[in-house]
Amino acid sequence: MFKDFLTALTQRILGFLKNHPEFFEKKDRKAMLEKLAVPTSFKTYMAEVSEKEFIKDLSLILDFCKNPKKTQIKKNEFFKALLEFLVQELSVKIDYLDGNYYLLPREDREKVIEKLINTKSTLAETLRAILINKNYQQLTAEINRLAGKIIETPFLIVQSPREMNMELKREIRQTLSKDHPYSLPVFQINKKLIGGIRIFKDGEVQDHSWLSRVEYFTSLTAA
Amino acid sequence: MDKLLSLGIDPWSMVLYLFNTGIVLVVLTYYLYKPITAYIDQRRKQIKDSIDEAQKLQETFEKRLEESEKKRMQTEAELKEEIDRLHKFTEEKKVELIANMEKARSEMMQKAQKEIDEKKEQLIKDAEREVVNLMSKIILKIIENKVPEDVITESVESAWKNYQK
Repeated sequence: MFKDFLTALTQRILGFLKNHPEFFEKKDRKAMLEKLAVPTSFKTYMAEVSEKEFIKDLSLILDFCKNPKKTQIKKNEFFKALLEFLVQELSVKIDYLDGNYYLLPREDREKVIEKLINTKSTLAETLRAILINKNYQQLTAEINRLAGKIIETPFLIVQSPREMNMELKREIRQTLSKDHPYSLPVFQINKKLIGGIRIFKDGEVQDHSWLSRVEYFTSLTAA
Repeated sequence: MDKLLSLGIDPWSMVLYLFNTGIVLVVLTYYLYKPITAYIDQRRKQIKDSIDEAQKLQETFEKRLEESEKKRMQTEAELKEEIDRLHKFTEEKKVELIANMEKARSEMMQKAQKEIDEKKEQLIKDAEREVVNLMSKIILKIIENKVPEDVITESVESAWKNYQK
């Protein structure tokens, strides 16, 4: 799924390095990186990585693009930056898309995404393609699968009886990312909860739903 | 003598008669009285011997009878004692058997009662569980269909605040 994005990103970074051959020798790389139009997490990566490590990572990116299933990317800094981008930046865009978006015809979806990501670049184009062609379940599953390959991070699910508004989703995401910066919380609708929310963290559940309260009260009457 | 003659008693006939009688007596004594006496003595002796023997036999018999009686009584006593012992043993065994049977019966009754109680408790629990499930379903159905949307939305936000605490 992220092959095109990685290709476009790598192309952009290499283009930048071609224009700045002394980049890795400079002490204050952050200032130079302001000219590079890539997500923040990749700028942080580029500011800290050494030349040698970067070349190794380039090779790893190529291998990953050829064979994502077999390539070992555990704890790799570049891929951690990618995960950080997906979990903290792309997820915000995903939250903008409510349940009805995925039912729209392709042309309407394209219009929505054009408004959401209106930058004119190959990198933005790849992100738009991802958001247009994949549904919510595919996106979240793919990101969580990637996360599992890179770093040990819990799988988070947030269930609610109705679709949550964007602000609440963002708030929940931000709060959960403080403890788990590489986990992408997946929002699900479960009408059986009736009210409240239920949060799963790697199988452990914190149930603040009305369903659990009703079951609790009925169990008390049975006792 | 004349008197005797006047009476018609001849003294010489008398003497003769006496002599004859004497001879008869001697002959009888020699040829009859002695053999008969000897025979009678022999018989008496025989009879006496027989009586003695019979008496001895009787004594022996009585002695044997007495011994036999003694032995019989002894055997009877032993038998009685044996019977008493057997009787006592049987009684003890009977009591023991009854006690064992009673114990087994009591255990079986307890086990059966325990099983019945367990089954009863299980049935009650199952029934309670069914009732609770039904109650849950009814309550959830009512709440699901009757609660306004804004209340549900508010509950989500409230639950998130509770989670953060």
